[in-house]
Amino acid sequence: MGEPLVKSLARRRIRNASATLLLALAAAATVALREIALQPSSELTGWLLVAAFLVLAGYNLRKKLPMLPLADSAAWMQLHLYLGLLAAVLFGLHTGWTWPGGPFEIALWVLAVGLFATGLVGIAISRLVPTALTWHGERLLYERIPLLRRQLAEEVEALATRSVEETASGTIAGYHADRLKPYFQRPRHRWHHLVRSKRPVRRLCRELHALERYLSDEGRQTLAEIEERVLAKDNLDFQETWQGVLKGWLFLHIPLTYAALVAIPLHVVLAYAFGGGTS
Amino acid sequence: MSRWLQSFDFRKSRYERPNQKWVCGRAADGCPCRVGPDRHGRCRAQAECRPRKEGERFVCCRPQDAGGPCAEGPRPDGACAHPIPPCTPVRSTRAKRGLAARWAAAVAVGLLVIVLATDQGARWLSPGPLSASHASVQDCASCHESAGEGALGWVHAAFEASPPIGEGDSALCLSCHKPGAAPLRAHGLPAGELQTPAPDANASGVQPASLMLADRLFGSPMGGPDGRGGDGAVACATCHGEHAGTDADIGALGDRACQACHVRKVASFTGGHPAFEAYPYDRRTRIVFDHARHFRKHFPESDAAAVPGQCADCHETDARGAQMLSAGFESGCAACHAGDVRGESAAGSTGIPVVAVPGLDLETLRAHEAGIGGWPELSDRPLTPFLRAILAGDPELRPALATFRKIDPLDLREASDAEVEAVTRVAWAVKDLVYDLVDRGPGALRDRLEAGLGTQLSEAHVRAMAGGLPLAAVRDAANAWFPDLAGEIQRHRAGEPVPMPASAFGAPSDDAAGGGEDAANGGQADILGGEDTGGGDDILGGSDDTGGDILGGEEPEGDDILGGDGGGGGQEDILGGDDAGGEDILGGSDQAGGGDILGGEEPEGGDILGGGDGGGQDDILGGSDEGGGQDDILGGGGDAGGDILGGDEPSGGGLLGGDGGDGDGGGEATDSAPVEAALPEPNPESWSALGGWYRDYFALLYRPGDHADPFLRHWIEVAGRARGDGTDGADGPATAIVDLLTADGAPGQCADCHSLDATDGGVLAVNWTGFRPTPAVQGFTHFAHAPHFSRIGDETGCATCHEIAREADYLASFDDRDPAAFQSNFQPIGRETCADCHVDEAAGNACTQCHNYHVGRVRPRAMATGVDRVMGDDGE
Repeated sequence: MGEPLVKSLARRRIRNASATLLLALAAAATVALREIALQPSSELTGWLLVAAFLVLAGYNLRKKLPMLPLADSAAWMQLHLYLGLLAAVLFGLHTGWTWPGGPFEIALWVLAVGLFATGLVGIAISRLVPTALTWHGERLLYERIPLLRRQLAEEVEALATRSVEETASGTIAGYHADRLKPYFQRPRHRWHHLVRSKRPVRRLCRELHALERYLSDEGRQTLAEIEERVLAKDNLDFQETWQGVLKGWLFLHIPLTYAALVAIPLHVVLAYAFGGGTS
Repeated sequence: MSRWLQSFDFRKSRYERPNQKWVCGRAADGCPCRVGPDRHGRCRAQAECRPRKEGERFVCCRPQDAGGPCAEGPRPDGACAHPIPPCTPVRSTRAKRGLAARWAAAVAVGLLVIVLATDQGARWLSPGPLSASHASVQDCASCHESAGEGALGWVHAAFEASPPIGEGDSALCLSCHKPGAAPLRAHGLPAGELQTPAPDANASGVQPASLMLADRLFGSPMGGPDGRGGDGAVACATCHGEHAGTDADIGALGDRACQACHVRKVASFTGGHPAFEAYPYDRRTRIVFDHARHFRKHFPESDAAAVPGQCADCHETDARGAQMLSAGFESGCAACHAGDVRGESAAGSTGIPVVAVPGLDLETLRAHEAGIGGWPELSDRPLTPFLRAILAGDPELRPALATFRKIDPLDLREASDAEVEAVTRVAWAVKDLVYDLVDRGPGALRDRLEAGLGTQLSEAHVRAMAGGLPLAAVRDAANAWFPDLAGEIQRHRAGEPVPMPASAFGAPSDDAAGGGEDAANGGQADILGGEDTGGGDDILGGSDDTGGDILGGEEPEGDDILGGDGGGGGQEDILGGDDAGGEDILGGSDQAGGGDILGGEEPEGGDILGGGDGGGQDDILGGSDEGGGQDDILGGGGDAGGDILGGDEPSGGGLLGGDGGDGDGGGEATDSAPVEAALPEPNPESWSALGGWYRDYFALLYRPGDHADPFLRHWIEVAGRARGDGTDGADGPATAIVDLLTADGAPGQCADCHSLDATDGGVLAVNWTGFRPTPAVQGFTHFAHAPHFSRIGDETGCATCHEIAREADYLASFDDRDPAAFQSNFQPIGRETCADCHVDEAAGNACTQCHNYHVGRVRPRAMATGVDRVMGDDGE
């Protein structure tokens, strides 16, 4: 079952990428030929960009209106992805692959390039992060992570309390009070997780192992259970960090879209009003 | 080893709703309430459950995923034993993202509103800095028609139909720039002026597929030869893209842009560019100079000192180093050709008859009783083209002039009455002209010339065309031609008949054998006549009142050669005497102060060998002064004179004499040999060798002085121009003037070197100078000589590109006045000559390296600075 699905996905990717590439080449050729014929292409590429932008922005609308019979979200996602790539080419053709000049043009350019860049980031994240999340450990619902973190924290605290009761030793309890409680209190080591570094958790584990010499067998058993939860908490942080990234890039992509929706109409008006007779 | 934390058992986990806008404020701590906030973000939590009453008891309803029913159970009043303290709900991730998006849109709108509301809004909306050449443009409205209409105006402009290209923003460009006669059309040339070359089937090289495809798909931006494309105009911004930065070269034009319209697509200069056709010669030279003939024949035969040794002796670059210019006449030609211009070696007359008395068949006119008054019998001059032009200024005279030109005015025997009438009218017109010239001067000619030539003349033109005509020459001519001109004109204008005087030669005259009384002959020249009252010139006549006779006498004012006894105002006789006041060479008996050479007995005269003066004038060898005592050199006998070698004066002081007494003792010197002397009478034409006006019998002539004579130059220019402006066609006076002044061997020989180009409408343009670059006028190609000098070897030098065409019949190019039909002195330059260097990897081969797009007069913005601005506000 899995192999045909992979083949199907590969075929879809090849088909969509080829179609996008062909359309991009056609647009570039049209612009080049129109340039040869001294026919300005900015109007053509501009309206193509507007159309592409509306379709791209429509994906968000489509998600909010799932009852509409307008293909499934996966199809829209594919369209969004490849149309975004095509729009990037159209944008380059529209601007002549040059840097912008005036403040408004720069702002519009930043918006467009920001959209494209965040879109690329989104593609990359949506392709890479799920694999990484799977590779790292248990995949968790983003919304449940605080609950699980609290659960772990309570378990560790209970273990520390129990060790005092069972071993009459305050070693684990002290360590818990100094190091583990803050560690379980909130997400930790986000930047390390972003670079997939396990140094912090290894250091913590080393510290736990260093306590073993001071503990009895029961204490070591308790310490092992605590270490298990430390690792679970590390996975929680990892999951939260990367799922946060997976959701967070949209905090750039969507606001940029809204800002562009405001700026583009003004740009169209200015282009026609100040087109110098070429529009 | 991680353990699995997450459970999807409905009894242990809840259903997550990430699309909700608000979440419990304790969710981040891992202990959210089960109720959660409402959709407005208000906390709704009160207790962990809402106990249910079963019978008389309340039962805990806490769900299993929250731990199930609690051990404590509800309170007696039914309240949950685990109340939940209220929290401050927070937005969900999705809601935060939506909020951020709305904020972004709001910020964008706010910024744009602020930008549009400020004075500097347009600056913020500008798509980039202007190029350096437009850096002084401060407001958008200078270049954008809709800029001044505000934001709403922009919206309106964006949605309304675009104005024609010529009325939009491009029109504002043209308020400063004037690239050619039709700036928005191809090459700035009016429609129809561009030649559309047919595709050259034999053209070598590559025709790029992209160019062909673009042409086929999109055509020409301004309409191709087959009518495809636009309306024939292209906006300035199509090629000149502004707002690309201060360093942007907005005038740069890519090679492909050139080929958007051109039928013949060219890959590059070395790949597909058509071969040069007679480049760079597109017309004959303006100055006629046969290089080959001079090199081969004239230079070897001429004085070596006057012959140039190298090209640079006659040619040098202009100030920009672009064009090679020819030396002027003075430095390049005068050494050999100055005498030709002055007419030193001319075989014929060097003067140009401008005003002449046309010869008429007076005998026939008399027979027809034509009332033209006196007219010189001996003139056989034709009506000069200049007179034709001037007389044609009277529209009513033109039919008569036309008739006059069709007949032979010297033989009117077969003429009809109408033709005689036409001759009569022309004769009076000539007299009117002469009279007006005396009366009002040459300035009176302006209106007549403008009307006659049909062209406007400036004051400078008229001044130059008058050539400094002196009053004395005109008066002298008028007196000589028409002695009674004033009276005749007065009678004619009063409508009185002015009969012709009797002929001095023919039978109709009563004084054929002399002695006739030509009372009515107002100054005719009789051969054997006399007793003229009007002052005619008789050869053997006498008794004239004002005439000058050769062997006559008894005139009051006339000049006789062998005459005397004039009773009039004292004219000069050569062998005469008895004049009342004239100066005679061998005469005497003057009454009122004549100056005779061998005369005496004048009351006041100063004679050279005379005596017997009455009035006391100065005699050289005279005596017997009786009057007031004047000074004689060798005389005596004066009453009061002071003689140098005399005596016998009563009151005079003689230097070598004595006994002045009462002055009767002098006069012995009259016995000495008479001295024959007279003022020289040079040939008027020779006398005017330095140029100017002179009279030769019945014509006033102008002799050119030197090179670039203003008289000739302006007459040729004006007449050449009048050929196009005038209405009398190629047979009119303007053409006749041009033909006269530019004929082979004509005085000044202007047209021997200065070619005349026929232009549209018949106008003849005179090339007074060789080619002179006009930087404001651009052609299709441009070339700078100076940068190429370092690339040509000393051995071949200029001949690297300019090789003499030995077999070309250069001079035949000037047989007509078509500058486009010619044979050059030099071989055309081939494309391969340029292609040695002009390749991509060397000197480059972009189209605009050699070609201009804007052709014609490319005029920069004209300054309109008022004097008040220059002087400042205070006017100081």
